[in-house]
Amino acid sequence: MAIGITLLNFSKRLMTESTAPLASYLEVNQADKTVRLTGAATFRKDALSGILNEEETRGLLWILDEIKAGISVVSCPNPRCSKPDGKVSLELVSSKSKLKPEIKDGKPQFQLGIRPHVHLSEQTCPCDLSPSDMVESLKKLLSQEITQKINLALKKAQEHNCDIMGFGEKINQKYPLYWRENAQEWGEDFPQFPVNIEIDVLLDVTGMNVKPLRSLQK
Amino acid sequence: MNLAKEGKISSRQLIILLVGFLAGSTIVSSSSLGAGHAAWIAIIIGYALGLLLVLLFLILAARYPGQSLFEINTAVFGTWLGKVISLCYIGYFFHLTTLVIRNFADFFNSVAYPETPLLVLIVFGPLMAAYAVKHGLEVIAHSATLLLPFVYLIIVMTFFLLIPEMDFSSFLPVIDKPLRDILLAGLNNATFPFGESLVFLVLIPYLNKPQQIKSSYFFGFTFALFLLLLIAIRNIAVLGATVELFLYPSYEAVRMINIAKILTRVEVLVFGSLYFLGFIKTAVLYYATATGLGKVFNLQSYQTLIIPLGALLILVCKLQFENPLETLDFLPIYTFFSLFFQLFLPLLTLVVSLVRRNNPVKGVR
Repeated sequence: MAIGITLLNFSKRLMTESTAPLASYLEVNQADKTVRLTGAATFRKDALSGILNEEETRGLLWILDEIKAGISVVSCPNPRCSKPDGKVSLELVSSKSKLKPEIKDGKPQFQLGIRPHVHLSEQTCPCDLSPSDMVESLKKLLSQEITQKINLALKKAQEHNCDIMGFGEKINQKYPLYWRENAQEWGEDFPQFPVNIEIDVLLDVTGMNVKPLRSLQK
Repeated sequence: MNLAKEGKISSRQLIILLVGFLAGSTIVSSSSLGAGHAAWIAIIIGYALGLLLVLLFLILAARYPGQSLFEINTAVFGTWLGKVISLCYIGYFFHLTTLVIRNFADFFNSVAYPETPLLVLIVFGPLMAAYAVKHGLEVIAHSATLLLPFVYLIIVMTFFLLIPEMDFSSFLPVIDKPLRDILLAGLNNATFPFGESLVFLVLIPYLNKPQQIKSSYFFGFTFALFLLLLIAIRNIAVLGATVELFLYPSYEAVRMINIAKILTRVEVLVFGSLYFLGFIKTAVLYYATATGLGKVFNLQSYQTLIIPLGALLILVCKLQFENPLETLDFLPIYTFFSLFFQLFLPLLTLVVSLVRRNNPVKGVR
């Protein structure tokens, strides 16, 4: 998972007061002379400040509303299944993320709402996913998996001390007066604040097979 | 002067000429430098201030119905002083023509023809305009009528093609620059392009319905405002804060058009067609300069002046700046330099005319 960044996007981010520019991160394998896109490089002002791995990059992309398609793999929701490590693939058709800043008691906080639209595309466990509670738990598992990746990205941003999510710019756009007083603080140190994540999964296509294929004997 | 031969233009054609004239070079280079993403506010301020200037022009023109700027000068200041003042205006129009031609030539040199000598690109500006000026105002108006809808369409089209690249959060917060910068950019917009419409006072004798000039000015200004706002909003939404970095923001924005990787690189076509607007502006100014000189020196016809004027235009165009950055340096000076012609001289003329209370209708011819 890597990030698609144009020169224009990089320049826009560099020109803000706080937002950290990003670039795709390539890794060269010396052994077989291949190149892999493995994540994102983060910058503080114009100097490289750290590397995000694939999972963290994916979390960041969820926040930035840059994920438009892809496949998420979650574990099979039915605990009674014979194969304990069965997986289910959910194909992402579209997604919309919304990041809203709020000032509560003089402290900024963020509401992150994500609406992924997925299709059920594949399962490797032999259990029946057709009951509606199975679909519900699939949605829940996907939400958990997205939340976990987002938290990884947020944690890394704190570690590298740079605002890769563009939180500062969001505050500047909505609360310019608050920003003018606190921008200095952001330049020095990227403050910590709560991010409430709300994920509302839409799973509306479940494929043409209702039940998994298996032999009929009991 | 033989007016009948030069023909008349209708008020609708005047509107079209005004829109083409006002949108002219502003489309290529930004007139709202320093205002950042509040450029659209600066444009509206410029429009309002520009209308105030036009009010002054129209009050002056209304006292001498059917007479051009140069005839008004003679009527107010007498023959000799009037001619000197007319020559000041003509010098301004001439200089403005060179600026417009230079602006377009620099643009094409930077963007499309980096290997072509600048002089070659400069020559084509006056060449086209000279041909139009030779055939009179009616021809200029007709060609503008033909070209303007095309240009309007292209600008609207680029706006819609760029919607996928737009980020409207770039407009927030609405004002984050000091108010002084925005007002200054507004003043820039008032003098360039809105106040430059002073040159249309020269065309008054060629209107078939001079009494409609008020509404023509108003509609021309408003259509041009829409065009300029559309361009400013498009550029800011696409480029965000980086809009300040570019010499030609419109070009940078249009370059971003990418519809499914099939419709790309339309910018050269688009700007080729925008050259039409440069042509309209150049032709109107060139025409005003040539006819003005003809009047001041009581020539039978301005036709003999066209070629020597064109040669001078090319020379001044080439010599006045070494590179586009010098043009940029000149822009803040230009604001106050042009206020002398757009505000001070017309105001002076109006005051003197009021003080002398000369019979305006009879006038001096």
